[in-house]
Amino acid sequence: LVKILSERLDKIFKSPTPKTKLVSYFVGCYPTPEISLELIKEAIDNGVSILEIGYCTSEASAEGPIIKAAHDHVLSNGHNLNDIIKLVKDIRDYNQEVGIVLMGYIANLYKYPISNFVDDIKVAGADAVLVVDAPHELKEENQLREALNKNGLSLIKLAAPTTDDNRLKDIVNIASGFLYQVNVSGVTGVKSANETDVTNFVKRIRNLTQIPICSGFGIKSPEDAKKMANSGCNGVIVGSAFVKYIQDNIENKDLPQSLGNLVKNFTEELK
Amino acid sequence: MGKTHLICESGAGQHFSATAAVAAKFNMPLIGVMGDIDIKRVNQNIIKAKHYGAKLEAVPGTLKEAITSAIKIWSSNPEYAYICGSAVSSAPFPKLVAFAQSIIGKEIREQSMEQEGKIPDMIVGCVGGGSNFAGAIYEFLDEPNVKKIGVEAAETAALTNGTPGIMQGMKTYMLQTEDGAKSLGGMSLGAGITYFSVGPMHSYLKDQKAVSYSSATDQEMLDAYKMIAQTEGICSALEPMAGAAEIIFRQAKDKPKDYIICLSLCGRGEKDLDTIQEHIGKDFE
Repeated sequence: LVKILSERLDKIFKSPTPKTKLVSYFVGCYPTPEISLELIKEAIDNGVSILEIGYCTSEASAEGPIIKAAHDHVLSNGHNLNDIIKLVKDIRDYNQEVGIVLMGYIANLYKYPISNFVDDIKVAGADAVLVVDAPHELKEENQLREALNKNGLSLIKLAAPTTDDNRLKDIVNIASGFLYQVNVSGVTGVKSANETDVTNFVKRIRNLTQIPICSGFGIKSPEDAKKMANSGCNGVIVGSAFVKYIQDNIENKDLPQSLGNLVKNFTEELK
Repeated sequence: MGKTHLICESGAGQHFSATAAVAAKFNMPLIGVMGDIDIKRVNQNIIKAKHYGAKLEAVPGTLKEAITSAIKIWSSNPEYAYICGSAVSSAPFPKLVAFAQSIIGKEIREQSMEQEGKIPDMIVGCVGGGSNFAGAIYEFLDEPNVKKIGVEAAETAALTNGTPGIMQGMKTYMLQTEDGAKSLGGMSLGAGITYFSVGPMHSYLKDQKAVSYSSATDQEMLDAYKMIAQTEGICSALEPMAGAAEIIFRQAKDKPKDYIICLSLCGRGEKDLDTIQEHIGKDFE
């Protein structure tokens, strides 16, 4: 039984094309709100199905050095969750089909506070939220999930290689939208995913649920993405590779276009 | 548990050297994560840990950054057991650490009964994450007649100046920006109490009004150090001098002679001698 909450995410996964959806993570407002929007527009135009828009926290405990540097950059420029929600609205005004997931940590949501946050992102046009450090034992996770689900939005849950079957059952029971399958033990952008491990993990999840599975962490190149697409997952998630590309080409005036080309290299492999 | 490696974080380096001793005894590789600012100022503890065979991992910053980094290394290596050094982070660490440290309170009770014939009227300790103070008062939580005061560094006094927030796996008082995006807090001379937040148990005890919390400045800590050195012949670590300052300059002033105040003198002073020399050396000698 799959809980269908976000109609837009449901539509994306029911569509036969592309065969494997590209989910791409961008740090919201990085390097600036204006360039961030341009980068994301290019990503959409080059076939991204779902966007994860990261909001920033200084103690982000799951980010490797690449994304951490981008977080620090945005924080030192003084951009906060309100600016990220504004960015979501601008993205939604530009495109009505792409899925939008806000991704980050519970620290900011707790202070926003949670009920206002859900109201505001619904108006802005987001489809889901992913909170890295909010396991379902946390009261605030329950409040957030309830408020999101009541509004037809999803809380994206994570499953890691260290998640045992008992816990996995609890997670798929409350999951909606898609399940974020974490390929490696660790932080973003460091280790590389192993095809056999990922395939076995997808099987383990499939035994329990029919919810769409998106496979993330350790997918660094279009070739990686193609390999992981063979694992049986419904989508592949690429984050640090795009953020690193932006970091390395931050001075380049044609950055949005060249990032668009990079995104296209990935989506071409996933058709 | 099937764990083959150990990881810990440390501020004052005391937990690092202690964990390194355990790692040596049980023949397990240990990585200790510390902020580069602390590595410079508590070098003695680090030398000791290295002699025991532990590996040091330096990160820019202090205890806060060391904890976030230790969590990252731990989650990247399922074969590591995280030996959390304070009553902080997610369950079950605060409970585990408070329980392990509760030996302090048991000894306070035993020694106070033996030497004074009664338990203390007041227990004071310094608080960074709050492990040593949690241990000192654990035994006396059901005894409201024992007054308990935890003392933070004035520059990072989460319980005095902070607000509730959720970071590093715990919901507790912390110094952070209003929107929760950034941790805040300055620098204290006491490496072990330079921490933007505090273990959740202390936030609960503060809200329950079961324990009082205050703070002490660097100058107060140095003044207390001087007095303790000259009157007791004790070379104390700087961290518990926050507690000593609270006693000397505030609490003890109006107390009768038979009022027993117990100060938890955690850590060891050798690691701070360079810092102390630098700040009060000339006048002191």
